Amino acid sequence: MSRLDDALREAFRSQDPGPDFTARVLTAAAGARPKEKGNWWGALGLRWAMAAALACVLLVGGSIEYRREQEERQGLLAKQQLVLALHIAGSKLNHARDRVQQLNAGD
Amino acid sequence: MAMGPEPLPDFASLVRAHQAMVFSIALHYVRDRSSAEELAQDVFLQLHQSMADMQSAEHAARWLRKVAVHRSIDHARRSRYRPQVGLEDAPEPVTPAAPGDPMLSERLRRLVASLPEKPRAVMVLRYQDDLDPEEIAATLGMPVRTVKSHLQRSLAMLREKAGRAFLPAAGRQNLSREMGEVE
Repeated sequence: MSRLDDALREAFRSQDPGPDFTARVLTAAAGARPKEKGNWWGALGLRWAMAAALACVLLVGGSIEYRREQEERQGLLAKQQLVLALHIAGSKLNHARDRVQQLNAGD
Repeated sequence: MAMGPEPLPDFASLVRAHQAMVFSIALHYVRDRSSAEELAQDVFLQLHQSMADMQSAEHAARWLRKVAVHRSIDHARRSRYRPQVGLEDAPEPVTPAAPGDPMLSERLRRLVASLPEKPRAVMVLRYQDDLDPEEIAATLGMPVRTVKSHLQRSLAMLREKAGRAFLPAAGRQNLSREMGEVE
């Protein structure tokens, strides 16, 4: 052990902070909320609840949108069937009119 | 019989047991009492937030030392601390100095404060807490050989600057020989 070592140990000797340091730290700590594992779980639970709520909203919204699309598709199909029926009825009427005209011309 | 780790004391007991160590690390690093008290208080508040993660008294002590050093380094970086009086401007004592001499201590602290951040932290941990290079390396997260190298270079600088300034002419040669044995 050299004199320089001794001098350095003396120079860097531990010192106590002010007399009210402990009280100040304990007061400040009492005002601060400790980070507990329970809080972490609580935060995680809240996140899960928010995720579940979001999933419900998406599910209900998706279901409404699906039903609307189904109804639209059924309406379109009904429209096409109506057009086809009118088309068939029109061609039948044309055919009947042609027959009537042929009969009149024979007279 | 092998003894297990000491159980974790409560927060107040940890503050009382380690406040001198935490405060002194900050004080020796930033060289300002009020900043050091503020830093030490922040370190203990951080401990209070992390009490659930502490496993034993030794773990808490190591944790406090590490956080105190790193917070002191961060503080010094932010405040760009430089010695208020240049080393060359510091008054030279006219009487021989010995360990325990407040002027010698102050000069040594100034010289250590002039070191770059990592060597300075190494010197504070070595001479304040009497840690060996392995413990310093673990605290600062650096290789042991780097710690030894910092110690050697810092002591060489101190031998050169403080050794000559604080010894009477007759004793300088003897002390220089003694200081050569430090490494």
